[in-house]
Amino acid sequence: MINGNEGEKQTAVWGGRLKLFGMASILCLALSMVFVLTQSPPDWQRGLIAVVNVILLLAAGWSMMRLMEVNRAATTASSRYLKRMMLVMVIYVAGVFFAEFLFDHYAVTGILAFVVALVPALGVLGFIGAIGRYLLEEQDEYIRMRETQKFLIATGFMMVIITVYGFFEQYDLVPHIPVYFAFVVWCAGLGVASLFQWRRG
Amino acid sequence: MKNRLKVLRAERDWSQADLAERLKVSRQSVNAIETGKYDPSLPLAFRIADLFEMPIEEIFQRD
Repeated sequence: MINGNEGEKQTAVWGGRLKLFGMASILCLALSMVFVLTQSPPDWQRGLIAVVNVILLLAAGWSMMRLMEVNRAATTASSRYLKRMMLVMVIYVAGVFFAEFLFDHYAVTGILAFVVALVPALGVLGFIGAIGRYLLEEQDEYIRMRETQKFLIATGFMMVIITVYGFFEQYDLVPHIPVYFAFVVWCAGLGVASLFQWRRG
Repeated sequence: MKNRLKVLRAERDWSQADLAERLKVSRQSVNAIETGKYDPSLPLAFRIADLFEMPIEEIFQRD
């Protein structure tokens, strides 16, 4: 446990790092979305940006854990949740590269193609599972209520964006996006929910 | 709901973090209850009452 000036210093340091890595990661995510929509850059550039983004997200996750520790804001469940999130992120990126490599270099067809295509999804499924486990494990009722509220706001945000985008897409006003982008939008909704909660105090 | 948590805590010279540690909740929870942003569940209200050795109604009152 850290007290006094050292605690404030540590809070400032890890808070600053969290902001830096978080903002850089949001920029990376925005860039990835532009890449998906325009489909302009070669695969290796999209791959590179994905790897950079995961490294930034891991750094942001680590900074958040340290910040919560120095502020005594970390519950056991929230620490476990962050660690699981970082693990599934690595699994997700490894899965994407694995599937891309197989589809690019081998003639994967039939049932095997479905299995290989499912590999990148495992990371995302792990992510969803980690969220569920967190809600079950969180013993602090106020934090659990806040997080549940955040997840509900993110769900509403995702439904609105995906519905509107879906109709735009229906009439060829916007490019097609893969269905799994719904989850990306949900994650962006978490950011919106955090802002909403921050404004309300 | 109003509560006297802040006063009771100050009387014992406890910080929010001290109280949070004793109740096994986060500091944000203590802050949210003290400022009236969050009404605790009955089990947590009983834990608070037990800690201060007072009946619940002496700590929490209707608005």
